[in-house]
Amino acid sequence: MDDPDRKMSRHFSHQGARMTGRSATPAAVLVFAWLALFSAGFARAEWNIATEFRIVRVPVVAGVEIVEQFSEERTTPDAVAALDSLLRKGEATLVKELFGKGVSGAQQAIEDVEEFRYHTEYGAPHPLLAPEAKSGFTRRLKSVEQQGERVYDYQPKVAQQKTTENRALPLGKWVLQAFHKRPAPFNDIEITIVRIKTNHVQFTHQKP
Amino acid sequence: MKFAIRFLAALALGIFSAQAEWTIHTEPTVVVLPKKEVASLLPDLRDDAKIEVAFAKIEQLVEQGTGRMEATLVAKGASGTKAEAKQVEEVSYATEWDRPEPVGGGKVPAVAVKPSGFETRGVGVSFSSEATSSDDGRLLRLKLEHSHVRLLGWSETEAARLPDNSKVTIKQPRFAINRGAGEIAMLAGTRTLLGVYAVPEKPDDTEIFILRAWTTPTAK
Repeated sequence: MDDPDRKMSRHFSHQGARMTGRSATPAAVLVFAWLALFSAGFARAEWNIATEFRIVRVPVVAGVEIVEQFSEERTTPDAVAALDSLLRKGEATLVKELFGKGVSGAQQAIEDVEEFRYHTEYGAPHPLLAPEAKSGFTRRLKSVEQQGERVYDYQPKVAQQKTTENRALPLGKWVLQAFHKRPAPFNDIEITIVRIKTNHVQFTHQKP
Repeated sequence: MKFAIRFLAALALGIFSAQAEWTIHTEPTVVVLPKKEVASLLPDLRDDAKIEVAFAKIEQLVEQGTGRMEATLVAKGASGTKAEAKQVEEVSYATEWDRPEPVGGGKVPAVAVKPSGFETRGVGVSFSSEATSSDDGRLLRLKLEHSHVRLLGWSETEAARLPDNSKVTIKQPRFAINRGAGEIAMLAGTRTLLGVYAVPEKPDDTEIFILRAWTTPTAK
């Protein structure tokens, strides 16, 4: 990432160079003044980019129609209105709503997660109390017969819905970021929409 | 020419007198509010020009008991250094176990599952900031990490079975984490909204992280 100070420095050097066509002393004064003001932090500015994420769970039929509307810029406002309407009527669920911000050019991460812990390593099964018992630790994904019942050590079955993309987004407008049909037994679609806004952090020079 | 020299000397003096080291103070506030209150406050919270008005309203809601202040921390450090603050309770839990062994001589069915490895997790709010300031202490650039870890409860998993088919279980913690990381720019003396999150197991609540940052000249 470019250092903003270096960017600013290049900018001011260019301004100074253009002034060398005039008489030597004023040019030198002006160049020096530019550099002085720069070093004192004059007219420093940064852009923050704020990101809003919304994940909405909708019934399949309505979801397919909404995704279709999101595919064209002209009908995107209709899609956003349809989602809002479903949410108001209780026919859709707002699964997540996240907000985060970061300076231009820097990575930002926001997460809202619940950790689920499960076994990843196991010792060998062995009898605990001879001779009746037949089970101890079970091996991963294997089962041991005991008294007519299969004893499993449970491993999580995880469904992941993930989309990675690199794209330009219009400012201030909701756009479709991803949609995923949830695995059976669910019969719905999760629609992820994103909206970005920028704000300019800037000030004029003032002595501290 | 004399004028130019005097001007340059005065300017140089001004620059060097303006060079100062700055201590950067960061104050994250974590508040839980009803979702409907947050929905009405969010437009102002997202707008750095209006956030003070929204923050005053949040303080009012907390005073009235409608909102809950989860944490207010202060971390400070010299420009360019890392500062951390946390308000956590440590929770330790086993992550590894020896092989289950029978105990008690075999008359009463019993088994020991001895833990042999542990992890510790800080449950609560953590914040770290690596901030740099412009030369006059007015513009800040901050690399931030913030998180709120909650212990939701304990889950039981089976470790062994006794001859009567009863289960021997071990407990594992369930954590929920709201976390954000990134780099932002802000003016010293202002507030900014860092993150908006859901509150686990409380679908009608929303958690917000707000940061205030300011600078003071470092005494020499």
